[in-house]
Amino acid sequence: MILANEVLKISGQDVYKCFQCGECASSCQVVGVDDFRPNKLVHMVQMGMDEVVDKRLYEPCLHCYLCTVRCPQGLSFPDIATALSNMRVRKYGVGRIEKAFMDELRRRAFINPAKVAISSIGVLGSLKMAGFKGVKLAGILKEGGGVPEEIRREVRRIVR
Amino acid sequence: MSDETTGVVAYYPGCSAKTTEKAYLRTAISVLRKLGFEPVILDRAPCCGTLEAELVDVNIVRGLTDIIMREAGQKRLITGCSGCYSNINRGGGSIDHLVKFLHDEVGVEELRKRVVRSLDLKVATYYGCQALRPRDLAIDDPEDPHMLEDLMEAIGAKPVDFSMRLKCCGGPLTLRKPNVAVEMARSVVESAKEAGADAIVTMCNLCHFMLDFYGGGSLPILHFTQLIARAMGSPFKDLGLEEHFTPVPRNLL
Ligand code: SF4
Ligand code: SF4
Repeated sequence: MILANEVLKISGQDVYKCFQCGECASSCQVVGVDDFRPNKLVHMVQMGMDEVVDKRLYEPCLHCYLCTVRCPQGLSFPDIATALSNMRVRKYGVGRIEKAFMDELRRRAFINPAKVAISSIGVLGSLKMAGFKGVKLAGILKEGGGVPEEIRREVRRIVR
Repeated sequence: MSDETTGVVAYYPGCSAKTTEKAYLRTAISVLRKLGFEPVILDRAPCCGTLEAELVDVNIVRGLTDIIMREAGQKRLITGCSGCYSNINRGGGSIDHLVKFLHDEVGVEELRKRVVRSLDLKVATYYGCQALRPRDLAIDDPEDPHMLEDLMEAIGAKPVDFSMRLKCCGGPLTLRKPNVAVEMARSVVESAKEAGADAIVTMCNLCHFMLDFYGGGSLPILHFTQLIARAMGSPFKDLGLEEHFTPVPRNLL
């Protein structure tokens, strides 16, 4: 399917409305991170360039939605990024980092932020970050959220 | 059976409020009770999925939202987490943000009347993203909000303006680009410090964790409910301040 059509189907965002005013990029906190520029990516989607998905070029987007309140065409770049990410998962499966997160969600219907912190910056990094309070993080790691089994079972049907 | 007459409301804590942000849950519940509500904590409800689940498949968020809404039943649903607020509303549910609930349903004047211990500190009121944007989910003017400042002024605290007030804490990038995320959290704290604040006040589980854990430690990071609880007479020890990663000086509140 044509890239732009698939984005439209998943997110309701019509990338052809974009006229490259650049307002989104000038609102954006992560322009330049890995060469990220929202309007450039919108253009690439218009042109049907699959590398946007294949190279995960949308990934720096914070989904802070600041550009969405400023776009004169009422476009939502973060929703376009979500659609591109969903497309990538369909094409290549869930990435390594996301997999750990989704496994946890499937197992407990709950996400422990201490675990997320440690999987992102490692045990040593986390201890350093939290200083002498690193012990606290270790204590929190044990927490399982307490969502009852019947609801976990329901969640496993949704998060496959 | 609901709510308007009995004051029963359902409170969705979010995963962080069961772990790193327990003090937020505890003080939110305490404030609601002091104001005459009967909050029921939705302990059984699953995670909202966060941005991560949405990035895998938007339908996961819709499915999780259905379960959360079912657990709330007919009760009015509130959360203190802007991330959960956004996900649940965008997943087809309906949930209010605690800041808006207190501001609109209780009211600033009523809150002012309930203060027994006016606070005297300069606070950097940090909104973050998800309660202000996108526009159809904005609890306040997305580019010029005032609700958090109104609540803080009602309890005596002095809001200070700072450049990162409406910007992102970096939370969404923690997993994929941790260096960028940490840098962003630090820049929020630095900008508040430069503005002369004594503390940053947050209104979201994730914002609080990001600034408290990764923010560099130069300012205490407080949940807005901790200040309100204190102003309404909660003893210092009930605020859970010792649970924070960044130490909070005792004489601050
Ligand atoms: S603000 Fe909207 S119209 Fe302007 S470049 Fe960005 S997406 Fe295109
Ligand atoms: S939503 Fe994404 S593209 Fe838009 S301003 Fe935020 S980070 Fe930039």
